[in-house]
Amino acid sequence: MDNKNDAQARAEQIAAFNRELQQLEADQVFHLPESDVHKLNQYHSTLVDDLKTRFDIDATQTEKQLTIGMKIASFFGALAFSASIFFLFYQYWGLFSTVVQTVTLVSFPLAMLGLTYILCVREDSGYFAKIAGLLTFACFVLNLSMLGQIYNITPSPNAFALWGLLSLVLAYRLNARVLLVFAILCLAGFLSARMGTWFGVYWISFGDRPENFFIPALLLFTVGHYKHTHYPSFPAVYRVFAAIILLMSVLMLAHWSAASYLPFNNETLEAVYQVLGFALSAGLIWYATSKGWNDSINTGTVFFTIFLYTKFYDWWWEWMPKYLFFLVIAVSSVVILFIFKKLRSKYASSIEGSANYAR
Amino acid sequence: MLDKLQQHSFKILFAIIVVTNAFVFANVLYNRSGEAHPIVLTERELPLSWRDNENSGVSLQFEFRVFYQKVKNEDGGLDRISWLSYEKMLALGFSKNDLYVEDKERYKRVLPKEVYVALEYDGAEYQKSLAQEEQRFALVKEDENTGPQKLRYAQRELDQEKLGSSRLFAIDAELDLQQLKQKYNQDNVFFAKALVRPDYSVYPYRTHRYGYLESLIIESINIPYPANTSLNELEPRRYDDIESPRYEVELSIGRSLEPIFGSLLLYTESESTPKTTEPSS
Repeated sequence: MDNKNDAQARAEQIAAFNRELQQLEADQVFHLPESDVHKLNQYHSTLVDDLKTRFDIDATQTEKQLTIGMKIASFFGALAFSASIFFLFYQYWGLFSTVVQTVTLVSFPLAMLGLTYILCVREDSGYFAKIAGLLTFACFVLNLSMLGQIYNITPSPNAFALWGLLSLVLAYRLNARVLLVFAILCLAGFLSARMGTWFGVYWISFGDRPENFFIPALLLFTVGHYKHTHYPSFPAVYRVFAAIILLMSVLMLAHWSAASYLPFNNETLEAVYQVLGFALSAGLIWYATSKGWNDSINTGTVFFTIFLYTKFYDWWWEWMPKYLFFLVIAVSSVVILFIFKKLRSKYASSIEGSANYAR
Repeated sequence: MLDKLQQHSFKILFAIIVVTNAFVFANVLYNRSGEAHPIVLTERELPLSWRDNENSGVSLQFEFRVFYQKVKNEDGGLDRISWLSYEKMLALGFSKNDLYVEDKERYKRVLPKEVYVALEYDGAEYQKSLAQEEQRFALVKEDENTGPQKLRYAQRELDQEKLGSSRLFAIDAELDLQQLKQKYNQDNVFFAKALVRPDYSVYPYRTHRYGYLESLIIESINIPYPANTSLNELEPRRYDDIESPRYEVELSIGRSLEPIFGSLLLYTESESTPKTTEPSS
């Protein structure tokens, strides 16, 4: 066992096994001899202690709840600290000479990196190291953006590549999904800006052409297929954010085709992108179902629903009585529910079939 | 590979920060190397940027204009003609298709292109603009049907041109910087990167197509300490105030066309004579 997720899954499996064993004994299905129960408990206790020491897992439901609380607190703490550093610098930077400003800006991320290293070495859980990691990223963003302002430097998309790279390495070092999200957004921004410049657009306008995001999103989705043995939660982050970037771009073009590179009339383009939006989100649901990726199934479902409801709004909101409009929405939700129920039973029977075949 | 990354991650992170900063400073040094002739601009060309209480930094915004000659056309309307014509837009890399898209929204969505512009300070273009305003005022004044309000408005426009408006004019644009430098080897001309976008106006019987300069790539210049403290004490001006400038800034343009702050000179009360000329009756 070499990662926290597997260790956590094993601990939960042991807890479930013990609960079921107690239930079976209560229902008098069978009764384990006292010596076997003792042996079993001792084995599980040693195993869970070992997993707790090695991976800082949650052995009970209460610990699990507390861990979620710690994750939320560290996330908001890190964001608030980052915002605080930004505003602190803005409040006082004008009172210092250029040399002091420069030294401060360069030393901030290096100092935070040093702190991250110390916390990484000294703290097992990694919560404080993750906060320090996010602060390192925030200080590096401040570093480059403020140096640009102080020395009147021409803005460049390369800054996004550097921020993304730093955030990516930090994410893998600290096993931090928040940093991975920042890395994904920065790198997607950089690649889209580059796409824009290849098409002759000034890089800052890259967001005005949503098609610039298509290739970066597909690249990120491909990375989401790569198995991360030590970071089991990372592929889902790649897939979900890739899907959001791609489907958001299609959604924008489906309602604002003037932003497209393609030289066709607006109505045709919007129709094409609306169909593409339905096809991509339905395709994502189908593909994710076949792979067993719940995260992507949910993303696909949310976007399919958004595409459907925005279309309903376009067609019917103006002329339909409101009660009828919402009734149509409700009926369509029930239809979606039926489709998912059908998919679920089909999926369950396919798993059962493969299990029987294996037997 | 990920294992190796884990092992050396802090070294890699340290290197990213250090090398990036080294690259930034190399870029700053490159910009400052070589000969750069200084240019002096006043508050008219470099007004204070918007400030908020939680930002102690001060920057000045480049305020530039393009001279439009107002010419009567055959439809009885006024054409505003500048050097940024349809032909010039084609030369700057816009296609006929970009300039001839019929759908209004789509036309607006033709994105800007990066070009080099020549900016002339207090030169021939400003004189042309001033002469045009003086001529317009004279015509209004001579017209027997002119009411006092119209006269006051025309006087105000003239005062604005004389005292308040920027004298920094974009006079030409090219895709090649050297070409532009060869054309304008003058002390009162400097060069910058800017964004240009197509535009059009519709008269009753024809569409006039041209371009406009959307913004400079570097829109403002940072004022370092201690010069910024004296600017911080100045009251912000309203956009329609007609007053003389309160300061001048010496700056130079580096090799990467990035502006370099030189010095700041605050005018005394006697040098700066705030005044709105009353209309002569």
